[in-house]
Amino acid sequence: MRIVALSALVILSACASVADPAQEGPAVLTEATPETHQELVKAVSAALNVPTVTLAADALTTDSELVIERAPARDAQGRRLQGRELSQPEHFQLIQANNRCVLVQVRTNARYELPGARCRLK
Amino acid sequence: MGCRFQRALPLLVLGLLAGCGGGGGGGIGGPGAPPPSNDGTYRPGVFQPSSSFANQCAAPRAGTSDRSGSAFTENMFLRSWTNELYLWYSEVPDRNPNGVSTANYFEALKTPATTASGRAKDQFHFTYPTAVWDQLSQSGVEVGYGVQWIVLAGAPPRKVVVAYVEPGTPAATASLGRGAEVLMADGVDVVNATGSNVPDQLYAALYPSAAGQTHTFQIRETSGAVRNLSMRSVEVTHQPVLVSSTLDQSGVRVGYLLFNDHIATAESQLVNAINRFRTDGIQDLILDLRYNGGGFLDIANELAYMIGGNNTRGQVFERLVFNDKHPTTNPITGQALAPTLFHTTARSGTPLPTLNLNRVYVITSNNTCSASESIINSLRGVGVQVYQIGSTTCGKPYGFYPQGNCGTTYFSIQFEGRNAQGFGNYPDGFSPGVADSGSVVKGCSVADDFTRALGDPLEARLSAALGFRASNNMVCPAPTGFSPGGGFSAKTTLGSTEGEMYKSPARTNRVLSE
Repeated sequence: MRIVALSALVILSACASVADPAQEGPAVLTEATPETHQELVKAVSAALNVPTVTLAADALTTDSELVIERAPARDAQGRRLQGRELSQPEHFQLIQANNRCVLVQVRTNARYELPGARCRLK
Repeated sequence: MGCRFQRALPLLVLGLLAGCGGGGGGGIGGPGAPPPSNDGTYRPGVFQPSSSFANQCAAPRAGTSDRSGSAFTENMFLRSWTNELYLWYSEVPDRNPNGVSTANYFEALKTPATTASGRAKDQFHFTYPTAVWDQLSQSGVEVGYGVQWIVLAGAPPRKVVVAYVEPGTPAATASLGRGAEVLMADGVDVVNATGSNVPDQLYAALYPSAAGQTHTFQIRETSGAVRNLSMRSVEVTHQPVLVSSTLDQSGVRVGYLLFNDHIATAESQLVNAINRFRTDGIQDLILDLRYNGGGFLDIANELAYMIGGNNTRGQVFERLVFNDKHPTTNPITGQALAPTLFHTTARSGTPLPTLNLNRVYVITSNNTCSASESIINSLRGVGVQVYQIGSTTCGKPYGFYPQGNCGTTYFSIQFEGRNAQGFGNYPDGFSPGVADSGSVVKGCSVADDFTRALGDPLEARLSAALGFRASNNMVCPAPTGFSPGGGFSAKTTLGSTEGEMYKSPARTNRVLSE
């Protein structure tokens, strides 16, 4: 039941955002400004429905993939509380599509345009 | 092997499940148990479904699914949830939840049993504020300086030393090096200061809570030189594979891999390292997990496969075992409990490179935990010879699906991981010994050596691994070690160099004290 629901979500998202694959590809940000960073934080937070998310200042400037996981929590010995993590991290990819920078949530294929960002095909 | 996307649920889906207030519940009470009562009262031995008490809070949070309740309803929820899902639920004394704070009540909801060594059977029973637990970050990104401290002594006379420094970080810029001892932090005597506010002051300096904070330190180098420095905290992007090198040992090439964290970004770094080892034609591998406390089990699975290759293909990496109420179904996901095979592909579906080794040397410490231990256990399970160099691992073959209720997230052991031979009984950790037997792994007991860089063939543990290998796995070196500030001593015990690693700024867990 759960897998079916997830699959349906992915299909719906994919259908809602059809693009010409010939004009798009993996991209990286050409500059890491505070404004771009905020835009990126906002897009990822919206995708994951969380108040905020911690990203590196240079996120997506050298790699087109952005991986989000739970911020590490540790026990008194400094070991991860969840040392046997069974869940999957969330993956995003920055693409350039029709000269626009778009963040794609890989699991759902949902797209989030970053109107203030500048990027180039990688 | 199944589709990669069916390996596990996504992070946030799990989070939503955890917030539902009660998982599973199948088989509650069991055959012959008293009939359940749903009147919300406590009756010894009678457990109503945890879902009937979920989100009934003493202090409901606005804007959440919390409803008005009490400490009693929160305790009743935890009592039933424990009875449904705790691995050793039948060993938990059934205490009256009336008149007890929820924090105290949860603390007692675990087995009182001890292990063969005499330590508590359940050492992994935690709570965390849900708001903190639910925070997300870019993989490997944490606020800090890029230094991994090791607390060798948390009470006066304290000893805090540098385990390693990551390149391109403020700590690297400050030329901090392995083994340097912190003498002062923001003007506070790290070694001797006493007072109730001292731990807070030390934590604030050593583990900054936000980027942009500048703190001052006085350190003593391993040479004995003392100097002052300051560092400004940044959002550090951790490098989980810190060292991968090929060592020439009398014409034989031996790989050395320092792997510090099972985070998602480790996958590509591990693949790159294994590819380099293949190109170099290594014949043996020394895997250094001394500072690796675990993380994503999929990463451990992939690395184990890349090491064992043909020895592991198509075989069982690990099988999860829940309590006897859930012998066939994962009570959280609802999926059938099938063994997890070694992953032969990366998450992307790309085939993983392999070394096809039939033996591996693993460097360990008490900070080697969870997913790191599963690498050892899974490889042993399929007949890959593991030699252990260092000290006893932490002993955590267990895991949990954290459960949120009323603003607190609860961690209570729910499953045990067992290898292809059905072995998962290492609650006291894996220990190096003269011969393989259960949780004893053939190898050498060697103290950590802070006088040498990690990856230096003369560093005591790496040197011991190389020497042991060269002796055809027969001879261990004489015990050696290093106590920072106390100089090098052949008599140094393992215990004095087995510090506590503390990577997170979370203030709820303390290793430094007054």
